[in-house]
Amino acid sequence: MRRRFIAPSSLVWLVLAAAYFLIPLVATLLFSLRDSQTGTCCSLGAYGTIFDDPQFAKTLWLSFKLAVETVVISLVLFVPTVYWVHLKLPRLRPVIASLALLPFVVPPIVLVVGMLDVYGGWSPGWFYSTPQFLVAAYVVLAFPYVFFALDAGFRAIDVHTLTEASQSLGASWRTTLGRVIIPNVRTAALSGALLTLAIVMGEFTIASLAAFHTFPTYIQYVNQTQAYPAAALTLISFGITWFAMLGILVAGRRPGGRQMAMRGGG
Amino acid sequence: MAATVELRELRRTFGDVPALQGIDVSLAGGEFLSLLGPSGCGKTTALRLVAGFDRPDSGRVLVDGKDITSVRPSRRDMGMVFQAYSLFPNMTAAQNVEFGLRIRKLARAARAKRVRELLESVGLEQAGKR
Amino acid sequence: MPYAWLGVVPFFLYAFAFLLLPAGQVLVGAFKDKDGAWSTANISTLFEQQYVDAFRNSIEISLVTAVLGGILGLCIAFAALADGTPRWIRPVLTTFSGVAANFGGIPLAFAFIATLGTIGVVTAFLRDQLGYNIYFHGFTLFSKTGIEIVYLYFQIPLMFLVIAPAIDGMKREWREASSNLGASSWQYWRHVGLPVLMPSLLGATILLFGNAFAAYATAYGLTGGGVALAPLKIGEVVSGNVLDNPHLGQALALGMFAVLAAAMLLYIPLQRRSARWMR
Repeated sequence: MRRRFIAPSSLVWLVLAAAYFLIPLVATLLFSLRDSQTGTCCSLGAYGTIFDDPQFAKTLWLSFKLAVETVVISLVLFVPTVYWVHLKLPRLRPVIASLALLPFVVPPIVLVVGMLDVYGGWSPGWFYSTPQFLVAAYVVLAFPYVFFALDAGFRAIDVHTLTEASQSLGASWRTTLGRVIIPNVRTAALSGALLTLAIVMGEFTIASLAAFHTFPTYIQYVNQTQAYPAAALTLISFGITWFAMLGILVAGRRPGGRQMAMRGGG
Repeated sequence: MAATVELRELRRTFGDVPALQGIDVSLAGGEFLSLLGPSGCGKTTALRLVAGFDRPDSGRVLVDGKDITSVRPSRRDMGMVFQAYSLFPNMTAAQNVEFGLRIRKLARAARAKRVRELLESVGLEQAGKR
Repeated sequence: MPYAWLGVVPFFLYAFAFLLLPAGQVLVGAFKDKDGAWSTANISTLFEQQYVDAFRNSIEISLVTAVLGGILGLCIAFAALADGTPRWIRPVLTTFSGVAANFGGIPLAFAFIATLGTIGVVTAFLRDQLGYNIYFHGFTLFSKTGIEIVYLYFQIPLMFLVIAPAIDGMKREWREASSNLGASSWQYWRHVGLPVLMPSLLGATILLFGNAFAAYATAYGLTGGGVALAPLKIGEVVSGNVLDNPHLGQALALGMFAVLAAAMLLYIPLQRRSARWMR
């Protein structure tokens, strides 16, 4: 039953898969290197155009800021919640896990419709008219992934023993949380954070329909106006996602963080 | 009826670890043999080689004088009881027992009868449906 | 201890404010008209030809990419996990799947335009090197087929990520016991392998269906509304391209919610069954 070499059928499938997944990336790369005058290889002009464009840095920075805000709010909101559920309210866990399935049924396109309607017209300008509005929605989008990552992280440690040990040594709740619990779920939190980063940096639907100018909406704008720079942008965007995933992989190598990042396209 | 089994100079090494270094066993028909030893000494490896789930690096397995070393496990006509109950989770207990008979294309009525006999012989007639 | 509940109050407040309330608003608002009175006018509008077409297209594309993505993802997972395949393939595929599954949306759409679009690299290659112009033969990226081809880019990796652990969960002993009892490879798969894997397969396919159905950015980036899809129609209404009727958008969203809820109701029992068998 043990083969020494790869089966031919396996090889065929893997080669076909590699072709399908790598060709578009290679094509985009070739496209991005096309000279705008001659339409063929090779020039870095497209990348130059992008980096010279002030909108590039502006939207990239905005998306990054939104991502960081989303991560911070998510962690501040979910870490204590998951901790509390594991420690004192285990019966609540199925409830929250079910809530975490809700974004499957209320995807971004549906959520944005609801949010625009609920918060339009009465909520303060600093919320509704600024990109912070997006953060509120992004925390919801990231919720299932951050929750399941943290949940796995908490399940891997003995929450009760750690808490009791810490408290019997005289630590307050804040100290226990900050110095005992959080360091032990750091890798799970990091995985969740990186996945959130990838999600926010790539989120187009809500940003576009709520009429904000984030990095993905900028990419769409360039897509429609300049072909070669659009290819360059696509690769940059791919690079960002790749960076986030590699981060998760590296974080997962350390003990306590092995939640695989799963999410679909959109 | 009972077959003779012979293991000749069986060797199996996993990477750097030599599991079997040339064992020879000879069993006459109807004989019982117990392999005893600490964990990791190669008992399971030897059994797996006899059953055909693994191939030896060198050496031969003979049943009734015939060399079956390169014969597929499904063709070896021997029964193995696994260390960790290897029951098929999608089948009931009765269906699990019935499986081998199905493969051998026994008629349905004959299968049902045989399964009942077997379950009764170990006092598990009631557990069939689980 | 009542104050233990205080710890989770912020979370529930947040979930209420930004998940349940908007979702509820969509469900309720669908039944109102422009003036705020109760009405099923918007629901009836859903049955107009253009919206029926949009939903039909969305469901069709989602089914095709879910099933096809499921089958292809399964084959790739088997290839990666088979005996004899080098060990390093699995982590590479897993990482890449994580990237590809997240890569969807506008950049992915453009990557395919750069590949198979009218001036795409592969299009040009086929035309110039092999003399075969796919666009002359009726192919276009900006069609249902094109969308399906692009969607597979994140559907297949998602399937791989979901099904690989399930394949791992299949005990080697089952295969061995089965062959010991005389069953061939094919018989094993028919009687044991596929039945055991089936709940996970079905669950994963449903996941893929919901994923494709809800996708907005990729389709928008690819066709800009050229192909009628349910999420795109919502987008049109929300951005004011259609008559200013927010409740129509909510009715459409309700329609999408209904389809996804039906999918979720199928998914949950399947999840439970596969978890039970894999233990």
